[in-house]
Amino acid sequence: MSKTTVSMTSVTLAFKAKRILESKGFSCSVKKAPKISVNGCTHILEVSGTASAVTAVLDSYNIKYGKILRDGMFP
Amino acid sequence: MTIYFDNAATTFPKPSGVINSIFYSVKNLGGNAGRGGHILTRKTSEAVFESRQTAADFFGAEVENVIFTSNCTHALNTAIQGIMSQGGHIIISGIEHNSSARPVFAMAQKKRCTFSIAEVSDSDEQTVKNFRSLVKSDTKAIVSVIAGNVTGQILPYKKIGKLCQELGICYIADGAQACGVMDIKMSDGINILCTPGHKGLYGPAGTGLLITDGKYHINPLMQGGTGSSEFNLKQTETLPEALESGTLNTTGIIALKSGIDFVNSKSIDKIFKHENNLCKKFIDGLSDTDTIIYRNSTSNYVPIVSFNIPDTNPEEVAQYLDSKGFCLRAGLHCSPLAHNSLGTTNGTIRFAPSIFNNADQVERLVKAIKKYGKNQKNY
Repeated sequence: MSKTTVSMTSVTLAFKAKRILESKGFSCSVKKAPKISVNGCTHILEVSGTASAVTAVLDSYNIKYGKILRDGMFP
Repeated sequence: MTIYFDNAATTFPKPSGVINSIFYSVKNLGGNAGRGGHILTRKTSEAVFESRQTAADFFGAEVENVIFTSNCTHALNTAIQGIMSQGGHIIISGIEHNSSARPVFAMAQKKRCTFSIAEVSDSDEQTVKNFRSLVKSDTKAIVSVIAGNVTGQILPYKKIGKLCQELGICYIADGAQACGVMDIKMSDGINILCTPGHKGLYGPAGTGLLITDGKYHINPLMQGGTGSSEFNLKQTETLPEALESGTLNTTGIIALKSGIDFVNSKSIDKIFKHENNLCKKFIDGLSDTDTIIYRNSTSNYVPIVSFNIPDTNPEEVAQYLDSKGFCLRAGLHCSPLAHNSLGTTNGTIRFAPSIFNNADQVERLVKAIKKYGKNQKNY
């Protein structure tokens, strides 16, 4: 099972995305990013699924998100 | 025994679920929501999100457009000052609470905006006409209560919302006396809805909501920590965090969810009917006296009744009732504009039941008022 990590623009949107993704059958958790980004602290979503499948769901619900990393590592 | 009829100020008692949530939150959810990554923070953050989602579902909003505030005044100040930050003209109704009137007046005094006051009529059509007649080329917003806090009169808020949509201006609705007893939705034409959490939603004091449809940018009243993007000294523009700087009242917010759950479990219609029946019983009980009831036959009302006993001071009546175990608020109720309209500059006494009151309590109150009235002239 591939794992996708998505950085989110807010913790609220992270939980919103989690709720939607779980309703679509994805296993999902909200965490704080392990590394500080150029902007500062960030919340991430860890989702069991491919990036294309995850972003397709997020896009269909107009949920803004940041960078995508397939291997779960944060840049 | 104390019987509480001051629910328009804040509801009491609170549902057991609200009390239990407060205990649970304080005992178990000790993390700071949205800050850090440890288990307690994650649990608290998720609980806050669940409360936000509950409020969003209740009012038909997107979850990220639900902003937690400390009360309705905080929400209204955020909305009014945020929308009018670049100046312009704003219209408020003639029965606004000081929570709207004072921030508008303060901005006008500092020459940051101009304002007009639209008279509220017994006729909904006339009220909407009054608003329309005051619109100018630089009018940016209309602020109105959905229902007034002195008499409980329901304004034609959907028509005011429609007027604002037609004119392309922002409608800020104060739902302080309406939310929880009326089914208020953002789709009613409301751009920004402000409400306390501690009145008809049965949450604890220190809670309020600002809900936006996202159409109009709200400049934040405060800037500060939001838990993310700290390297940017510019305040984030992402809602809800953009308007929620600083640590949230997590205990209050989590308990507010239980309050909304309680309202949903009872149903808004049943709550309204129960409280409205108590108001009817109260009015009917005093119908054989000279008690002045501030209602007219053409308007609709939320379950609030303002009254006076002729030739008496409302505060003295309330003190007498307090001595007999009844909690009612007398005075101006922070709404001088409404009292100017009513011609009650000495104030009124306000009867405001909740779902927890019953007919027997109302009968006892009516008896106490009659007993007091018999000792007065002209009663």
